[in-house]
Amino acid sequence: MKIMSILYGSMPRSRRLARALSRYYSQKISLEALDEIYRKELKRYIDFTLTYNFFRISDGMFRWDDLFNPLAEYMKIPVNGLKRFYDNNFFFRQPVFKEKIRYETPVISEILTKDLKLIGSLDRINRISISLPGPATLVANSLIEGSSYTSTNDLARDYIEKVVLKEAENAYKQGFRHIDLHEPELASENVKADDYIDLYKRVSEYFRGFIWIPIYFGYNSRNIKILAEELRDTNIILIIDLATKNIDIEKLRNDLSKTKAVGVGLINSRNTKMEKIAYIREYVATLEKTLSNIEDLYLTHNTNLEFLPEKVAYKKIRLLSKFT
Amino acid sequence: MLKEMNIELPILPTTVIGSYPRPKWLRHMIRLYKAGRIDEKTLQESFDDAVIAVVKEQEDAGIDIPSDGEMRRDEMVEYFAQRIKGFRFYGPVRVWGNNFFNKPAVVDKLVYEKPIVIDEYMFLRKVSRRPVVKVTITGPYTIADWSFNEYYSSKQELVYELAKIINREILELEKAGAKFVQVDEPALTTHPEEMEWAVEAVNEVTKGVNIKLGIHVCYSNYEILSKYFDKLNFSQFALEFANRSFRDLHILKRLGDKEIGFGVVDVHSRRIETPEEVAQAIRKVMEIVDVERIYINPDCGLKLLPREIAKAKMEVMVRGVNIIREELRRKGVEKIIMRR
Ligand SMILES: [Zn+2]
Repeated sequence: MKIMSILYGSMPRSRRLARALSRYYSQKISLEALDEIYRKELKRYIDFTLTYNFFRISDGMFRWDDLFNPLAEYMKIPVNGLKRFYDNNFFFRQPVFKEKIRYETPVISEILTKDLKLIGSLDRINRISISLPGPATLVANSLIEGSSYTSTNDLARDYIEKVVLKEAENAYKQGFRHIDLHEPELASENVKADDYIDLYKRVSEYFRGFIWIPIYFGYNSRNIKILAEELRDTNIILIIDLATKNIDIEKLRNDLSKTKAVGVGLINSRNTKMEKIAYIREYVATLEKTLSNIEDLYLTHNTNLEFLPEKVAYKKIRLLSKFT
Repeated sequence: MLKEMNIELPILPTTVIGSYPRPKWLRHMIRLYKAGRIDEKTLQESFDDAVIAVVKEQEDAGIDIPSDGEMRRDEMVEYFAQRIKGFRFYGPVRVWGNNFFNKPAVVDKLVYEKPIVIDEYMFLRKVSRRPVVKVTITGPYTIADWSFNEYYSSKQELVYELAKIINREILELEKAGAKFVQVDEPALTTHPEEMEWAVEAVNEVTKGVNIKLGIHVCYSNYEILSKYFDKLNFSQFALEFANRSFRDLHILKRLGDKEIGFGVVDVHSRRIETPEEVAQAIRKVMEIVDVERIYINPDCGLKLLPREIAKAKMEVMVRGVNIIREELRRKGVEKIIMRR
């Protein structure tokens, strides 16, 4: 079994970025000046993380207010008031689909490519991921109004066709080799992963790099098992949350018995308490013994590091880096 | 039955939830203090003056039970975590948009070292001309839910530990003469699977207390909350209804003989309601709850509104209440006895 460490999702904003944003909102600095700060933030994060040998990282999602914004704006979709993001004391603006998605250009990958170019980090593009909400999570946290979409399936399909495939195609062309489809919804009991398997496979046809599906805020055994089985011959890798709940190792063996690669979120991104190195070593040793079919094991955190204060997030990154 | 206290209030007593916008000059003084340009004593004097100003503003608007506007508190969890031993701050985390919160971490056994809000109460009591004032305290469940837990073996254990501390604080407030304490628990329904033990833990704060205790729960699932009206050992539930356009009123059928602190103005909208809208909402709730068991308040703290809008909202609220009071007066109903 090959063991590697990875990072994904959103990072805490530094005080500098937070200050720049509030100055921008009160029209004290220009958009250009704000963009400059965004790029400094990105560069600092990439330079720090890639000095360690992480197999892959994200872009820190510094430009995102939440998993759906500003994507909603790019899709020309209005947003509602604030809604709680699962069981967190964190709130997002809910997309309201009154009309069909209009997504003319692959904005997400375009902006990130430009940012990487301007900070002189294009040579690292193949280790940095594009982050997007997964279809199950998008439809579960949106409202459909009027006759825009006849069902959540209808919306999920259109979102994949118009947004995800467009981004995937452009991202690959630009040199990206990783896409993350965040699917916290699949950890809940409200949804059956079965409904989305075809959509993930569709993305897989379009993107020949790695497609990662982080599933967090819990563990839904049924969904993990069916996804691990159905997607085993694709370039799709699940990232599962092993820190929110205690997962019985036998159950894990059973759920993952058909897959060759998996990401395991051992580091808790929702608690400041530092995990002991010995604990992780031991856990990994157990996984090595138990999951004999796994060829590639990716160690990571259980959800976005942004739920931690910045200082602690970086401390946990350093901890993970000991396993690269 | 709720026991009567020896205090008379006008029918439909008007109150606030707690927080009020800080005057601009106070924010300036806080900035100066943080930059090291004024000393602690001057800052405290500024807080005192701000309390005098906002209490007067509430009383001028016609509020029967004012608060101190929580002038001294930056944030409702942070303020308590800073004053209970065992917490540590690693830095801010984002809550939404570009808004951050200094999320505390429990890193050691929690210890109640000294009173937390007694001085706040004493000062408020001194400056208010009303017979009853309201003191707000963040509840144990919300403090725990909005903190990192590095020390206790479970969240439940942490909530119970905090409940004991908050209980001591309320007992101290009672000793100091407070008549009405409101426990704020906005997080209470966010993990429905924890409700059973959470309610029991929150009840710990009421042990041995003989003054009026209310509980404020906002932007929450009231279907879940209302199942626990009876079990929660508080005589008043202060809830938001303007925000939900006065839907969900049916849950108040489960109130039993308890009171509602009825939220009639929306604190997240800058539109100022009309007195008639307020009166209409009160008529609606009077169909479900006896008028002697209704207090009137804004949905939540007014803190996030511009000060002049906060003031206008209180005035409109009182004018709306006065429309109904006039109707009741003709029926000979004018006063209630405060119950604990
Ligand atoms: Zn509130």
